[in-house]
Amino acid sequence: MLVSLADVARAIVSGVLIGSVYSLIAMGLALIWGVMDIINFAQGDFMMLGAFTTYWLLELAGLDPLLSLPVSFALVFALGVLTQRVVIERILQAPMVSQISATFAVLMMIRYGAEAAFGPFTRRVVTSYTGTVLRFSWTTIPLTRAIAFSISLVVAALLYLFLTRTYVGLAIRATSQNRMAASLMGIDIRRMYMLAFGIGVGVSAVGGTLLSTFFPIYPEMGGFFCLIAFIIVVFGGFGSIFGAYISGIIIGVTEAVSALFISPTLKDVVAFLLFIIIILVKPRGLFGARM
Amino acid sequence: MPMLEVSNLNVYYGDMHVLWDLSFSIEEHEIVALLGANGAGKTTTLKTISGVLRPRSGSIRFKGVELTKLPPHKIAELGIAHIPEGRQLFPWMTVLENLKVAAYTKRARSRLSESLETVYRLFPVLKERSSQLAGTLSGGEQQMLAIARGLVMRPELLMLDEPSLGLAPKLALEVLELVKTLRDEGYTVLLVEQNVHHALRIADRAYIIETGRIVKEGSGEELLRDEEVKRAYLGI
Ligand SMILES: Nc1ncnc2c1ncn2[C@@H]1O[C@H](COP(=O)(O)OP(=O)(O)OP(=O)(O)O)[C@@H](O)[C@H]1O
Ligand SMILES: [Mg+2]
Repeated sequence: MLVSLADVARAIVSGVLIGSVYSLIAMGLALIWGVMDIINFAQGDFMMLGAFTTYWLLELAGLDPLLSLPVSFALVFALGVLTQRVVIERILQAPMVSQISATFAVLMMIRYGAEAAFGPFTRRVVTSYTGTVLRFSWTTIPLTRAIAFSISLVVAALLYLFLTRTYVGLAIRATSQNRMAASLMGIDIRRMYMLAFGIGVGVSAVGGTLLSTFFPIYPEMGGFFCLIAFIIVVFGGFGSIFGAYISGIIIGVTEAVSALFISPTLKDVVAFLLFIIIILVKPRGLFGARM
Repeated sequence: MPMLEVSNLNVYYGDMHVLWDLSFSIEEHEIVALLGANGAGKTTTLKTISGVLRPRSGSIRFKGVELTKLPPHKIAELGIAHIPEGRQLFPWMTVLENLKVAAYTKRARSRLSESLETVYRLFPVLKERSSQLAGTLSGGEQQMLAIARGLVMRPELLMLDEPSLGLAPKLALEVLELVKTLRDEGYTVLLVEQNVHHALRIADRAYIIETGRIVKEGSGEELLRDEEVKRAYLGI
């Protein structure tokens, strides 16, 4: 099989595009981990809820995915705040195993709740521009993926500005770096946890909305995305949100390029292999810094 | 009425009884020193006042408000700044971001620019390093930042836990001089200090704590002359 330079360029572009969606899910996971030291195994399932919100708003109300995006964020944000108050809050001091079990229980409730409600079927979000492609001399890019990439960049930039330029953002970072000191400065730690969890899963839901415009959706879809997000976060350095963004794109490109050179069925194996190698060489991830 | 009144405080770590019926008080515009050997319970006392630890019994009243049921952020809002042992900075934030976070409460935020001017005047090096990550500062600079954060909080009561620890002797003296200046400017200070001699020299009053109990109290001068204190803490 001959691989041309153009093939490689196309693979890289498509890897960047899908990677930018992985990045959103991973950034949310990194935010939650960074602030609360909790690994949210339900991260992919909150993403799925975002995808289904978009699907149903289109089906029932004819709302374009771009317009349902804020709704999807807000709904899942609220659900995240509720999850934090009802479940996570109670297990913060618990042993790691209990914490894992608890977020796993949340995963099961969301995933199989959705399956009970919507059935296990695969659905598609179809809009007037679903088949539209952007043509370049050397490649074509589906419009939906280009939109997803642009919005992912905007969301990452907004999150960056929020965390670095606003008082609440500073307080969230302070909480992640030193809880006791933060509380002594007048920061309500519980409130920061609720915000971090809400925003963390809300950003993941935005990823789900974007993904749904070019990817089939089904209640169990969260499993793969949570795994990949987990790998991205470890790869980027736990707690480093912007490391997670860059790593998401690296993982996306790795998958796409190895699909081209090795085999599409092995693309995730290669990504996980790269992950293991990086962890062996740099156990603290590529970007050591915290948020 | 004293500004802060601690009465019959009992604090435990698990089953370990650490503070025993601790009582003391602080009047407005005083420097009160809390002195004692390692492990006596000084840090535990400050942490209980600032709400990080909950007492099993006893009461802490600040300007008439009971603190023992309040979370730390509420206590900070009331005007108590606890500058904890070991600096406890936000290491991956810049110096300026650390100071901004300290102005999180309503009382502090509106006066942030004024506060920054003050702390930059007191510690010019912090201004030079304002965009540097706090974790990369030298030990002395970190301690200055820790104190500066306390001032930016605009508290009425400033609680300092070993502010001169790890500083060069000259700088340590300067820090204690600063505490005196702050008192003259209207702050009330609760000072925990290893350097008993210097602490007693600047303190209006002091309490000596041994294994979680107050064993002696008096003015700074009285305790400086006290034979037991001399033997136990001043090495004379
Ligand atoms: N987190 C903790 N868990 C259990 N015991 C603790 C804890 N912190 C302190 N202690 C114990 O409580 C007692 C009082 O400790 P505390 O830190 O209040 O002393 P201190 O007077 O501040 O001492 P130092 O001068 O060393 O700072 C000590 O016996 C200490 O070992
Ligand atoms: Mg101590």
